[in-house]
Amino acid sequence: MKLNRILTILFVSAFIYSCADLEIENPNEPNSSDVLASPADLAALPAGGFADWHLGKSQVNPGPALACNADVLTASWGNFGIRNFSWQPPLPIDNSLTSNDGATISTAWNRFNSAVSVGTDIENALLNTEAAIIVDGVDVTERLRSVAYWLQGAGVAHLSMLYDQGFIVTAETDLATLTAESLVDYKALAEFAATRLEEAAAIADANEFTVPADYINGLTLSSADFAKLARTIAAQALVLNARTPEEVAQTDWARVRQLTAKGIDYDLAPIGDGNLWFDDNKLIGGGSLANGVIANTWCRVDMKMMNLIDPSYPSAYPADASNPGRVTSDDARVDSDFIYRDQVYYPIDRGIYRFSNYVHNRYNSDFTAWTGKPIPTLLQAENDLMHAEALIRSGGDKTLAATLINRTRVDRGELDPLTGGESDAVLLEAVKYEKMIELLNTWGGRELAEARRWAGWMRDGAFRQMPIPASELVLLDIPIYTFGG
Amino acid sequence: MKKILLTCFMLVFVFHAWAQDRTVSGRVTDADTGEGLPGVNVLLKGTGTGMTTDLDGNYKISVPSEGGTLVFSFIGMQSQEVSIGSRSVIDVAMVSDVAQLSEVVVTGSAPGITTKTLGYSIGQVDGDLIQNAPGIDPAQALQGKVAGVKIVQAGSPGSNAGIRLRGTTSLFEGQQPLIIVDGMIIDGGLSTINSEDIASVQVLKSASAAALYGSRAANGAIVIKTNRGSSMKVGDSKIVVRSEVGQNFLPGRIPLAETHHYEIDPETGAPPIGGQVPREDGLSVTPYPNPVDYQDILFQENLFTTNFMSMTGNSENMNYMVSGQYLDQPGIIRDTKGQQRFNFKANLDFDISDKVKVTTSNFYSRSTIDQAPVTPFFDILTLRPDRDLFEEVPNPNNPAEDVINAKPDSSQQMVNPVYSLQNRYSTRERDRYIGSIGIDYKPFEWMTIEGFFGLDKDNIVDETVVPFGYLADDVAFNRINVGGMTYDSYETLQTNVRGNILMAKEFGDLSLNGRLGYWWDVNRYNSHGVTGDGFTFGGTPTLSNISDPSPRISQTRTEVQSESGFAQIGTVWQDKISLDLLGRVDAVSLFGADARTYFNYRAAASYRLTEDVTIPGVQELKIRASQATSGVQPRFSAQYETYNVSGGTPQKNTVGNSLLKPATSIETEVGINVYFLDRFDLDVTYVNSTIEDQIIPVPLIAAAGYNFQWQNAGTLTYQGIELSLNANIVKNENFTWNAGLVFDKFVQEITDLPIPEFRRGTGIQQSDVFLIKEGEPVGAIYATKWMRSLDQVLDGDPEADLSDYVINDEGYVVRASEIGTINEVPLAYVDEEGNTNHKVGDTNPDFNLGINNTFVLFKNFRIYMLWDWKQGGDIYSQTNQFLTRDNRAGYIDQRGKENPKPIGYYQAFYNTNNPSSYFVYDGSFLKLRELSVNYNVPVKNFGWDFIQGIQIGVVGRNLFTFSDYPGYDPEVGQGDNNVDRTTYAVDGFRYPNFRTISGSLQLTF
Repeated sequence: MKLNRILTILFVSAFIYSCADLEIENPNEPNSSDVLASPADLAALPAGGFADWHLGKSQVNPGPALACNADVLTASWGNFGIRNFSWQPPLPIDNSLTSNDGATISTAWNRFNSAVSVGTDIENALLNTEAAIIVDGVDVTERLRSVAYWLQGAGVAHLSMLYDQGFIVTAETDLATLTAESLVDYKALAEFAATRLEEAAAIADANEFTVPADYINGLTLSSADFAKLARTIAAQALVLNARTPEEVAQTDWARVRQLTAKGIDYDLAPIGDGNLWFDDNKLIGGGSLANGVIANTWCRVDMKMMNLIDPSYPSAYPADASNPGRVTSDDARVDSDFIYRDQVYYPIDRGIYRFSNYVHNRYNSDFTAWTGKPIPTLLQAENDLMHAEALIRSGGDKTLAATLINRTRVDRGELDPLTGGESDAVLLEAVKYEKMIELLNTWGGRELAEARRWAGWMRDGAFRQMPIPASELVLLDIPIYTFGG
Repeated sequence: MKKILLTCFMLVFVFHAWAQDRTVSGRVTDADTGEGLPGVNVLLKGTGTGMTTDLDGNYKISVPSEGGTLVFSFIGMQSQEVSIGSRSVIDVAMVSDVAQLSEVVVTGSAPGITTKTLGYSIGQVDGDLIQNAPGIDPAQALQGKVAGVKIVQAGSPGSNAGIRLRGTTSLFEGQQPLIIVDGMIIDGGLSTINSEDIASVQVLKSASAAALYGSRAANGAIVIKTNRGSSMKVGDSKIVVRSEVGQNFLPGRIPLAETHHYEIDPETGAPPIGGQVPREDGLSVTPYPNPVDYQDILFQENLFTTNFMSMTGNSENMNYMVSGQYLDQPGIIRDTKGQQRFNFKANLDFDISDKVKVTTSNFYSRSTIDQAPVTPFFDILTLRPDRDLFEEVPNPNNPAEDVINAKPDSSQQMVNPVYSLQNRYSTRERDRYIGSIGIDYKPFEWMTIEGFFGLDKDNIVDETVVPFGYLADDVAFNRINVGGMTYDSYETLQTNVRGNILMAKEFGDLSLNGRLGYWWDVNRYNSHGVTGDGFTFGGTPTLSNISDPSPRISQTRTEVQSESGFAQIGTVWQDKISLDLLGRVDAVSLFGADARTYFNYRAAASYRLTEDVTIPGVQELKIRASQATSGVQPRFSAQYETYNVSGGTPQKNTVGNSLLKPATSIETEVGINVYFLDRFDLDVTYVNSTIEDQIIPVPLIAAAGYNFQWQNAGTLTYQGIELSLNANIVKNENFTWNAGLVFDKFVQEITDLPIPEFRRGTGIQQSDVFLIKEGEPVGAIYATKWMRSLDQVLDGDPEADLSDYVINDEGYVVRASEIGTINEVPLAYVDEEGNTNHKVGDTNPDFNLGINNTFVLFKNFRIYMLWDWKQGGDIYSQTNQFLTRDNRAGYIDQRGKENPKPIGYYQAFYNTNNPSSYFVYDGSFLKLRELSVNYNVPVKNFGWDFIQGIQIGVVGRNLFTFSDYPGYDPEVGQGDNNVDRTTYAVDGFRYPNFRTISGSLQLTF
């Protein structure tokens, strides 16, 4: 009986005691109240936005596919949209819901919009806080304001370069009311981006602060350097949104001149972590070795590029697939940045037009080089060359333009220096040459944005911009459309 | 370990001994046939004394000098009680008891309701059927035996099978049913559990059957009960020792082209490595010199062994079942060890008093799995066939040493699979303990209180190692030459606490039963991993030797808690009409904060018509109907607003949803059970299921910054028919033939999808060949479709001149000007709206049919065979797509073809690895899945008293497959647990299922 009593008590206890704790936190991923819980959290938030901005340019989609579409790089492989984006004759981008190239179209769209969104979150947080944001005894309010505008501007700048239209989102935007009517074209995007980045630069110029190393991984930037970066990206938006040589003429070159005159005087090279900070353009677009072992590479340099280096070299691979041999050039970069491979490993059945014997080997002579090491993602040369082009196109100081061009043309290429006395056409051709050769594989999307600006480079039918991804069009109730072909 | 086992056995042995006075003997026969009935329980009533009849039906039992009563009982026969009196010989003829045929208590049904009066269908597989050819795990043992159960094995030893019960219930959360072993809900699949211990498996296929498990039950449940001493008569014990030794084979080979379409180097007679020049005609007709089929190098015929020992006994106050099993299954891949598994099981039950019983179950498993990497399966098929895989070359890192050439064709991505397998490795170590204790307390005759506590602790450690100096590039670039390793640890602890109160009362003809229950389940999961590239020095592949300046560290922790209360009523009137009502409320931490509770119900009724109406030839006819709801739970992270944190950097991911609730399956089922002509047992079920409030990631516009929000939206439906027929076809003295047939056919559809249609695959690169689209079933394949009729040309180009097109000898539309030339290519279909992707296949079969037959010849020969037939259901062969890419598919060889095709023709089908209708194959098959021949040595005839039985057997598994599918095996499936491998049938360079033939010896003492 005693046993019965004990057992009864045990059972009854079990029933009346409600055991479960149903309020389980998610210990793996924080929510917005976690990431915005304290001033220090708010100050840490931009890191994700900077990573988005970087990933939009460095992930495997869409950079290599766009460069192949633009005949800057070439490959036969079907991965990452490369083959579908570079048929000859060109085909339209398959922007359907069933598309196999969905990720190639949507990755940059999502990343850059996400960067904008982080900027807007910070802007909202600042608007909702009357007090200054103090972290470790330092008032970081204006730094965050500058960063918020910077992320909005930089994200939209890259959207303007890649997509035909997009949204402008700031703290004033009610996300719930965004519809198809809210979309603006790429020119309006570029204008917003440049203005927002100018605002970011103005705040940075007016306030002395330090951009911490966890924003742009491993780099500690002064507010002055941060402002320079904002102006260079603003100039990129204005210059690289042009879809055709005709639109190049419509660019506000005076504004570009002003921006680039105070643009970056350093190479932006965040430190790779193999996680968020890497650069697939350099791996897929170039490279040739892995820890010293020759590995088969993805992309090679298009014959059109090699023909730019050596006009006597064929601009298309010989129809009989015979090896055209090496280029002849005084440009020292032929040896330092490129590597000749005797064999072409692309299946010949996929088109001889995809063949090339040159690999761009500048950054990744070794595939594994980035983890813990700098990844050059935006070169001073890009700012210099935009500055030079602006000077030439807006009647500015051509001697200065020549000097800017010579920084890479002579210092790296060991070519004859320009004096500024050359014709505009010669100077612009030199700008084109430097931008195509010197800036190759620095960031994803650049090759298309650059190539479409120069007369005669793009093939007929090759697309010059990407559409909004189909899945987003369906959400916005817009008929699916595409480009190319 | 064996010594420990024996010690355990001896310890429990001491529990039983009894006294005896005189002996009664006799023979028990089947009244219908006059044959001796083996295995009949003969019990001296009121005592623990008893035994079973031998193979001829003979028995001999000690009884008190004053006599008493003998009780003869046997499943399917009416029990008989016979007064002994002063007789010393008692022969008994037993008659069949139809009503008793399937009177089994069903897990989750209302108390008092057995299969006889059950209002819904379940699948039941008895241990006897499984023990004919015990599979490596219970999933293997279930294949083809239950209607509506689809199981796809992964060939790799130690891997979990993909299981689906009935139709598709979920777009994103997988199909894996709940697995319940000895009352404990377990996590982590069936691959650790051995089949020899299984007493029965109940497959709760429906929402009705599994309704007791509430918001987790929409995928159904598999309830496994293991052997217990309570199945034996008091005082009995037995020791079973079983050994099986067998051989693994891969019977088939994928046909490969041993020709190429290049000009040859006159010196070697082969095309050069790289820089090949195609023949002018583009035809693959030149044979490679001395071609090798590398499949014969990769696949080996290895021996596997299984050793099992158990001891089972029942003494007055306790019963026990203790067993140990050791499995060594090396698989079929060279230089890999496969799976080695040691299992230990101890079920100990105690009768504390008349009112209190305690049951305990303990299971421990330790397994080591040496997993084969994926790349060798690719390399053996795509590497040009004139390479020597055993060629040695100087090691570039140490020219004094020769190593196998890692890259026999340096121009291509394929590496030497022999090099790869000999050097890098991937292992899994798994320790698992499942244990439970249950206490049943019966304070009154009409009430039982049950308490249960169980836990499942599962620890897995995975190590993937690329050694220092690794020379091939089939690993991450960062690991070439410098090596690297990944270490992942996964720990799961699941606990179940249960309290039930059962009540039973008879009110005249009405039997009224009830159950109240409270369950509390907790699942804690913690995984952490480190991956780093580069070792500081060779020979020590440990984490501390990693040279990586920034190794990646990851951790995921989850906890799920749920508590549930339920009430059940089961009423049976005159053993004829039953009603089973269940209501259950779950509160689960996985649900949104504002939707924490979930209610589901079951209502089931049955009517045994033949109790009222006599139908000639029909001994039993039951009609039944049920309706129930059950749920699919959201995944752990779904309710939360989340930022991804990577390297300390937060990035927006999902918007939280405090209203997120389970998807709900509403299932209606009607059916009949008929026993007719005294030998046929038929179960037919029609089921209609609607699964609404699907849990889907609803995409958000990119400007929101978040990728998506998990929401309840979308509806799936399925309808199906299941049929199972068991028959005792022939039964006479020297020949018995029992047959079982299971059949099912399901039709499913996505009836509502409020998000844009999207592609889905198995998670493997470029496997997204399926389109999730309203109006389509899950499993619809959308791809580029190659035109096969001239009408199709006009859909895409109404202005086309059809005289410009012809249909070639393979049935594809080509341009008339190109047929027979190097430019001949198939043409892709474009519809009126310009769509280039079209439905080209559906993986859902037309029907499944399984037939098992058991023949007993001359009482001692038992032959068992299981045929499995799947009709229809397409397969997408990524394997053939890659083989086409690399010009190795068998059909690339154009020698002897009347109308040879140029290589570009096949490259068009390849379609740049985008989905292509050319690689959609009919997955129909007929398979002899199991065949066993067992011979029971008539030990009694030899006068061998020291042994109860010797069984010698031969077992074959996956013996013959008849199929037009050109891969290794038409049963394909890959992907993680949240991928329904039974639906997403993509065949892509995975460990194939293989054939085993083995011999077994079983001794019973």
